Amino acid sequence: MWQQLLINGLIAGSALGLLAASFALIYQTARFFHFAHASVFTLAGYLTYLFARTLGWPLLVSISASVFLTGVAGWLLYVSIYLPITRRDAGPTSLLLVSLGLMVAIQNIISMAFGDELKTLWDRPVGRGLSLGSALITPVQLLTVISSFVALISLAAFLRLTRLGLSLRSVADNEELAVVIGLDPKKVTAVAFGIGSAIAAISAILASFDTGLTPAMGFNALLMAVVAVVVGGVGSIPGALLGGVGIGLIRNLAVAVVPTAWIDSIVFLVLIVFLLVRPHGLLGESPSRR
Amino acid sequence: MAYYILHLVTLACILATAVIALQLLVSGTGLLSVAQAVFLGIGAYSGALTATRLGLDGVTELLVAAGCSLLVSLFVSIPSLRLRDDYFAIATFGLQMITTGVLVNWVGVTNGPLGISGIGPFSLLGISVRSPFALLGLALLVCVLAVAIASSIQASRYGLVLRAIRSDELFAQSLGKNTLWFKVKIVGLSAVLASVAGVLYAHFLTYIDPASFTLMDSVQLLSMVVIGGGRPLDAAAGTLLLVLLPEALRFLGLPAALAANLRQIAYGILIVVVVAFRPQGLFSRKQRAT
Repeated sequence: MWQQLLINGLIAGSALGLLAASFALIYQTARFFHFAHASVFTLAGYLTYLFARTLGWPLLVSISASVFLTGVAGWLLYVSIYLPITRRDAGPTSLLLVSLGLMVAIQNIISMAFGDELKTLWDRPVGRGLSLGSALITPVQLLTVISSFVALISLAAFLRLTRLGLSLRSVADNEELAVVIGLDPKKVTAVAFGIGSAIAAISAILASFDTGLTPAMGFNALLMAVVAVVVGGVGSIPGALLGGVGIGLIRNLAVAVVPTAWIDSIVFLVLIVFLLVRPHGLLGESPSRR
Repeated sequence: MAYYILHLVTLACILATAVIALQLLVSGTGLLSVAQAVFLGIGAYSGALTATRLGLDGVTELLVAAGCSLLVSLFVSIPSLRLRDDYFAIATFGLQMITTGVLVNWVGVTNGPLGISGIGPFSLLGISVRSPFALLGLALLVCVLAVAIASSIQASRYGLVLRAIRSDELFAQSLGKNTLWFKVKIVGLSAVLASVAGVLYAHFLTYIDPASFTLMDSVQLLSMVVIGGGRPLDAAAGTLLLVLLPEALRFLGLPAALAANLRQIAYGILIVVVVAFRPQGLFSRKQRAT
């Protein structure tokens, strides 16, 4: 049974790590907690549902369209709402508040449009599980691990190898110096919002295939992703990934030890413990540097 | 109809006490908390359990509520306040999630999702508050006390140090102020004040359950501060507005589910609009709410 729990944990963790990494990417350049990322995630799931199930487009077309449009939506959120508010000299606290307002509004708009009941992207049988030692893994789960891995490798390659990725990293590292060498941090942040939202869309679509869609899916996923980001080290993308996998493992392995209902509380207790003993997380920089 | 309005105004007075307590953190110190419903809930559950299980009177209820909320506030404030301000928001977020988990799952004490019903009238020193008018009087009295406490803090040297922390914490430290201790004290005071409101809340509704003290409720309390403004009376006005506004929607005759969605959407958009265009709140002339 341990083998199965371990594998489930790694699968859940890789999808969570993907969402956490996208959240961290946005935080790195924008410097505030973008909670509306939760509704961006939900939006991606429902766009895919709209294209694939309501309009009957081919699955691959639906997924690509949804990832692209979600990226555009994230970019639009920054350009049309956050950016004008930033220009009015608002601090991270005001922006965090705005992101909470946006999250509540968008989630409820989705709930009005599609209803609160569980929806599925996939009505065919799950297919036979592949056996891996004594554990089973479904094709959807295998797909989750592979696509998360591919998406993260592409993100890393983009950040390391392209010019845009380099400017993104320099804004994240030191905004003032980035301005000195002629970068516009606002444009770079807008790009981070677009890419981060598209990555969140991939995570959302994988989650929709696995467990279905509800308007609260993004909220529930982001709760865990925020813990993953803090545990991994705020501002560190590899840290976010590591935190995601760690939280996925804890959630699944804890099943063997404590009643399921208590698992979420345990995860949030881990968050508080990390704030107490290791606030910069596993891979983050020491916050004393500010 | 008269009793209906009486009910709403009493509710607004009780909530306003918790909102004014939250304002001490948000407007007074620049700390964003998404856990004010936790302290309202701790007060409500402490009061309800002390009254229904132990049969003790109001004084004991208030003491238990204040003690519990103070302890819980230390649990978040000490780890997170050493760090940058947005870590406090993250820690309160963790606290909120843990509390909801505990209220739902610790069935032996909290009676789980079913909540606690049959809470009798509040009695203090042998006088029990039975009539709706007397309860309104009590709620109003507590609310006025909260306004008085908050105003006197704002006007005092202590409040001045808190404002200094809000505008430049490093500078306040350089003047020899132990800013951590100042912040821990105000978070504790805010929690205790909210728990007093919680005790009244339990006796007012005679029934409480975990669904009244969720993250969304905390966000609503926060939006009352932001929409109201930076002074104690602004926050009270913001509370009254947000208690009455959804009731007005009721008369439009919309289906219940749709009305709930619309109310949340209105909250969300109102927060965004106020932060963007009127950062000082609707009722304040210049003092910023966030």
